[in-house]
Amino acid sequence: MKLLIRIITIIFAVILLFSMQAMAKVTTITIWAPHDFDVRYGPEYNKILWGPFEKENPDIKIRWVRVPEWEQKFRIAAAAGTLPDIFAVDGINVPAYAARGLLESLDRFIPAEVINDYVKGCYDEMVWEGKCYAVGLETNTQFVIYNPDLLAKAGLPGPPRYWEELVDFGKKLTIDTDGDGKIDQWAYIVYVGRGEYQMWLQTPYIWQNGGEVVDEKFNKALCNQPKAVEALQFVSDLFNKYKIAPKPGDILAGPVWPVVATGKFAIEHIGTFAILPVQKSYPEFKFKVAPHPWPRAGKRITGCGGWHFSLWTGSKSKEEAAKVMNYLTSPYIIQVLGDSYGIPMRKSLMGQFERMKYHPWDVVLDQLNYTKPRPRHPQYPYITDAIQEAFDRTVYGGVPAQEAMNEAARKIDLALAKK
Amino acid sequence: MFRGGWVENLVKNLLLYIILTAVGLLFALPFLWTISTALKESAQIWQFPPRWIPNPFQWQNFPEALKIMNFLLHLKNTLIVVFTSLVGVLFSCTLVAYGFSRFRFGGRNLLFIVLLSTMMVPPQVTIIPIFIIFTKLQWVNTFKPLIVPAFFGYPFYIFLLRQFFMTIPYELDEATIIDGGDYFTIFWRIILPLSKPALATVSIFHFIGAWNDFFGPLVYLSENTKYTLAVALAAFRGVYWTYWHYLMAASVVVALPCLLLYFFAQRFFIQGITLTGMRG
Amino acid sequence: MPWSWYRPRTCIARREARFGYLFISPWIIGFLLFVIGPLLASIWLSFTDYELFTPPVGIGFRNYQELLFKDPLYPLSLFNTVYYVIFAVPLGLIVSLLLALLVNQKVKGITVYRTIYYLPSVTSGVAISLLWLWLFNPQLGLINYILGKVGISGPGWLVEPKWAKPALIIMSLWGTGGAMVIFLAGLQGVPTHLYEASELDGANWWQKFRHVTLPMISPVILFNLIMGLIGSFQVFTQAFVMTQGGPSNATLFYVLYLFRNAFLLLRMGYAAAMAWILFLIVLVLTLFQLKFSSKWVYYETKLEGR
Repeated sequence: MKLLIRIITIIFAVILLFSMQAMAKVTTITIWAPHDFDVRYGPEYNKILWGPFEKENPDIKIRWVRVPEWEQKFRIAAAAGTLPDIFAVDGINVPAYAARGLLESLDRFIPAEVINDYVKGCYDEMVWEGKCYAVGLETNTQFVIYNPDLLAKAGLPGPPRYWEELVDFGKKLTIDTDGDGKIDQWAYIVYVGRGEYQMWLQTPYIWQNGGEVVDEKFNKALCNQPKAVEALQFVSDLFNKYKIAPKPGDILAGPVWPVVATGKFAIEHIGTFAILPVQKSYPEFKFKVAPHPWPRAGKRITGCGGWHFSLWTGSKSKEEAAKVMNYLTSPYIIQVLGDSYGIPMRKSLMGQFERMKYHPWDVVLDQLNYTKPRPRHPQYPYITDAIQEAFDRTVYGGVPAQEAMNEAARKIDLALAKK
Repeated sequence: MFRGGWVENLVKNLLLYIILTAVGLLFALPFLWTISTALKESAQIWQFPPRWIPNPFQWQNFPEALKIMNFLLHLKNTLIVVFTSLVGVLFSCTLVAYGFSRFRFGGRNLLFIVLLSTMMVPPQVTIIPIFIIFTKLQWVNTFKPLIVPAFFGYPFYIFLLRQFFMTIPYELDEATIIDGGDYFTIFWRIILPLSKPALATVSIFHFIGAWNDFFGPLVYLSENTKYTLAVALAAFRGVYWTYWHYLMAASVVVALPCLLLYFFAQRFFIQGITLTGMRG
Repeated sequence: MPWSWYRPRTCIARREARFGYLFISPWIIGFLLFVIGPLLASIWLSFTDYELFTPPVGIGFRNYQELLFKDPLYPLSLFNTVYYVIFAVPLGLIVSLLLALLVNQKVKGITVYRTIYYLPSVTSGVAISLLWLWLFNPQLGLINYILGKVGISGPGWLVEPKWAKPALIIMSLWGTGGAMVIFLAGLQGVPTHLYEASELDGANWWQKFRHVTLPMISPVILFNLIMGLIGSFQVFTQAFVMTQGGPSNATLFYVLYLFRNAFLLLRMGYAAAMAWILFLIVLVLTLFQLKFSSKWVYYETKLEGR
């Protein structure tokens, strides 16, 4: 009898233990992003990125899914209502998604001092209409990357600081090196026309000249005003009139990029994301960076932009996902992502990155102070489409700048009138 | 027949080989460039003027690329999807094409037009409703959306097979019926054996199509471990940077099974079906 | 049920009809399960304003009105696509048929050549697009480099509005391996006794081609023609990856513009309207082809009513 009771007690204890295990529920938080964590961090990426969090929170597991060809998959899933708890967002889309109820406002999860700690360009994209909807994944600014040897060979003191200097220097740098009558070396290259990357590069030209794409209150398009049209004309002239830049042969950040590494181009207008990969893939290429030129009579302005993490309003595990969002703002993650993509996103942690004191990062940090985000409006898709088309038609199709901008303004006004 | 024949033949053959090789080079050029790039180190890829022979040969690009993209796992996924859907395609498309090509029934022509019409609607507008259907069936994040529809036929293959089946003389069907066979016997003993080139074509097309299908797996699968090779290849195209040497190396390896399949399927492309004793 | 034009009179005919339906039933079932719903849904969507993340809102015929009367880019996208189709389809047919004839020879090693010609079709569309982006690069690409060696100054290809579409058409010819394989299979199916008989009658190679080969492969020609039409009207991937519709809207093809509206501008309803207009256009063209085909396509199965 005693043996029987002992056996029953043991069985009970085992059952109790097992059920306690089962009761300790593990929530899986899914994150979607197009970024190449698996390539950058190798097969151990899960441990590197999420290890510290999962150790601290054993009841939460993070599952990261790499999503190439982001736009299509994301939008189909969004339309069908099957998004993950956390997903990456291109900063420019934050107003569009937030206005349509996709993004959860983060102010009640993340302390205000953390949000305000993000560097200027990043912060501008995280916050919309006073609320924070995203935290930075990586952020970028712009500059020109140049080949100091080619500049020295042409007898130039340094990179051009103003548009006028760009044209002058450019003429000396666009040369026929082997005497066959064809230009072999180009002074400048910037990707303009169709594509969001192109849009990112070409909008600062408008702003530098004192122009605007839309007015502050988003009531009206201003891209057909003289200053903006002048800017478009200047960009087009670089290709068509002064001929110091060749029209790029591809659209997306494609095959030959950064072209300045091929030795056939002297100066390229590009973004921060290029620095680390260029240093790694072209170790022999000695390059320097400088702020990209602005008109003498204009302002020094540059673009900002990058991707962020957002919390889906339809997530079934918001509390746990919020913990993950907080983790994504932690010094550890800022360090990991900053080392990998370039710019440390939180001001208070800048000191941990020694390299930010040296070239080229000191120029980058400086540029961060002059950034301006692309128009923050739920109808941004129309705005970017209209401006891209204007640049495309003028630069590649020879359409007069004023006419192209008029058409763009017409489209933007139509779109702004909708909401 | 000796009438100066062998010299003439030699010249003809030589000419043929010259043309074949010249055209072949044109077609192979981009692929050769892929292999050349696959063996280079990053900095050498975009040199100008273009350099065909890498120096040094980075053979390690291949194993490195395959390791990074977790080749074996995605190979397994791809094989599962491709072979199961291939079975589905061969099963359904042959039967349906048989029906359309040799039977008279009411509304046949209309239904055939409907079949063709389904290919005329750009998929971009139907993808969301289709995706919603699969979500409701809870098939999302499984291989089912990639495999099950194959068992119901794809219009492209049905149309192709129908055209081929219609080149087979009806007298053969009649002969089989006289010998006591039924519709299935005709299908199994006459139609299928005489359609070897067509069946080989359908198999090749579907194998390669499913092998390289990027969009389907992208949309329906939401887990890194479930992706097929085509999606895994995209791993080398980051948001800002493409690892060209790895991408090319991996692309070459991923393309090899398709090439081998095609090469060996050539045995089904035999010249001329001799229909002895079957003069109408 | 549209029985009106065909009423099976005899027992055998009724049996034949029943088996006909049986054999095509897999497709019918699949159609009802997976195809008809989304098709009807997309028709309905074309009468709405659907921003993807918010539910669709009915707006009647406004999408169609805007498309046909107010949008300057719509007729342009149609023009670009028709331009592409007019060149790519006939050229594609001719090139693939020539290739198939070329590799239909019984010489040693022909299998190797067949494989080489099929190489392009084996690589994924995106990889090919990226490759050709580089090939067509005016300053650094292989094509202009080779042209330069022969003394020709290559055009801007994908950077010049005049040359962008021709560049894509050339690219499409390189990818005709699929049609070539289908033609090859068709050529293989031509009974050799017909060639032998015509040789006895003293036919030369052109007469053999014109009077034996062409008629016997005409069903396959029809297939490649119709599929070529349907496919090239939907040309998309190359423009999407390589040019995004540029330069200066030269490669803004119909489905690319559709895609842009659907997924980038969040106007899925508008895109659905575009889709159904395209459907009508392609349907009319295909029906025309099919009707006209009875004049030149030869089927062994003389199915009058079959």
